[in-house]
Amino acid sequence: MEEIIQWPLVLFSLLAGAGGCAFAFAGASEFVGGTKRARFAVGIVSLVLVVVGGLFSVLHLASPQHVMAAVRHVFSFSGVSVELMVLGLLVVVGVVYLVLSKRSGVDGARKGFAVAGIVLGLLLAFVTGHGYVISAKAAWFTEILPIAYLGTSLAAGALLFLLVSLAADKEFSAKPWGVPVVAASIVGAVTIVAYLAYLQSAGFDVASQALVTGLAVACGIVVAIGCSIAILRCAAGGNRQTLTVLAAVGFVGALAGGLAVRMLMWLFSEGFMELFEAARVVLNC
Amino acid sequence: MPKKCLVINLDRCTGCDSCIVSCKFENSLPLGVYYNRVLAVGPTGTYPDIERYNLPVQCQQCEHARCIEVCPTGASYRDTETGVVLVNRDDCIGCRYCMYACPYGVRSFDKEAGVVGKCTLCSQLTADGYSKPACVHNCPGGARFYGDLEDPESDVSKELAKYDDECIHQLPAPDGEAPLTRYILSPKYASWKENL
Repeated sequence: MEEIIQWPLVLFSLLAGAGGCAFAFAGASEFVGGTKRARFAVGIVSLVLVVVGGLFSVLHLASPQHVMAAVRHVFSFSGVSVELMVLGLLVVVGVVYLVLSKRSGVDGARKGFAVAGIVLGLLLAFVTGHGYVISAKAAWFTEILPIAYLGTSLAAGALLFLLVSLAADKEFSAKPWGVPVVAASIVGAVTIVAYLAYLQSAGFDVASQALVTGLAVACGIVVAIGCSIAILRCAAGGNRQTLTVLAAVGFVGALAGGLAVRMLMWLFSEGFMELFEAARVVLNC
Repeated sequence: MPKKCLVINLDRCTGCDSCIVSCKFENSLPLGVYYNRVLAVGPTGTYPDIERYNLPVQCQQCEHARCIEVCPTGASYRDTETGVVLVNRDDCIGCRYCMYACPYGVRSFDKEAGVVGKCTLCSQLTADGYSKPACVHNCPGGARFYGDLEDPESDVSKELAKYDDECIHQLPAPDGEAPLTRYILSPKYASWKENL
């Protein structure tokens, strides 16, 4: 029997989404406040996550070398192709941004690539979920699904940005980032609730997957928002070590919440009709 | 474009599974891989008013084929001459999105070859314009018909013409996929079940 949860795809969207959104926050820090050193570190970590996520998606294929066929047909504009395009563009933009970060006198160009990185980072998190919006699976056939992918990635990305920035540069101040981090966590929580509500209204009993649903609520909502609010309260003059621990715990919580949403999507992935499932006898319908 | 498809007369289907066997034999399908199956629907009702029928299922040749829309390599495609939805095994990368997108779950993943397969209406046979798919040729009940729904002289159109509208059915679709396969089931034998 085939594994219900396609882990390579789950890890792809989870890591690439979090990486993309962390990069978006690094780009935003060009305008909101931050340090070059912190931005560079976040940029590196984000791109590593995006690339590692991409490699996980390759593991889903029948054979890893098949990815070249997907690259050859990249302009088919299917869900997979769009993911590949956005991922590739983000990596290119990210690398150029990092190169520009090490040069002086290119502020305009660097900020331009930062804006492109913001757009592509957010877009990547969204499109990794949008390919699943297909009519054959009721649990997937809603725009709430990619929005939940984006929301949970946004929460994880915000906290990852803060964590890496705090760890990478002692000059980095968390003060301007308290409100954005709380806002991102709330967006993540709202999208988790929205997807759970959609599943329930579509006839899926989310309580039947109590462990995973509980993970989504406990980590993606309680831990992520709790840590973010604590960060907001400490951001102005709190202990740096405490802030780092809060960002780390919050990031793990947000990531776990995102993982749970993706797991639920697969656990409720029953098709409109599964006519080839083990020989069926339809009784008393 | 022609609308080549199967018409299956459930009034005559005995559930012998010859269509499955002939399909596996013709297409050299390995163990566990199917391009068609036969479901037993029922028995339903309360004794003595009970009924059941057999429902052979395979690719429904949707007019709006979601499998084609989601395929990242164009491996799932519609043949421009016959209108049949096919899979180019050389282009298939085994991502299985077509299987997720198929509303009927009638595609099979060949783990050994790493590609997805499905009923092609035996395109290797029917490409000559007059041969029939193996399941149609080998059906001992004479329940299966192959042809172009748009051609009034085709076997499928002629068979459908023998029945009233109340006897002609198609599988429900989640979002306008418009499956072409038609099933004939007369109320005197059993009532058509929408929700399987």
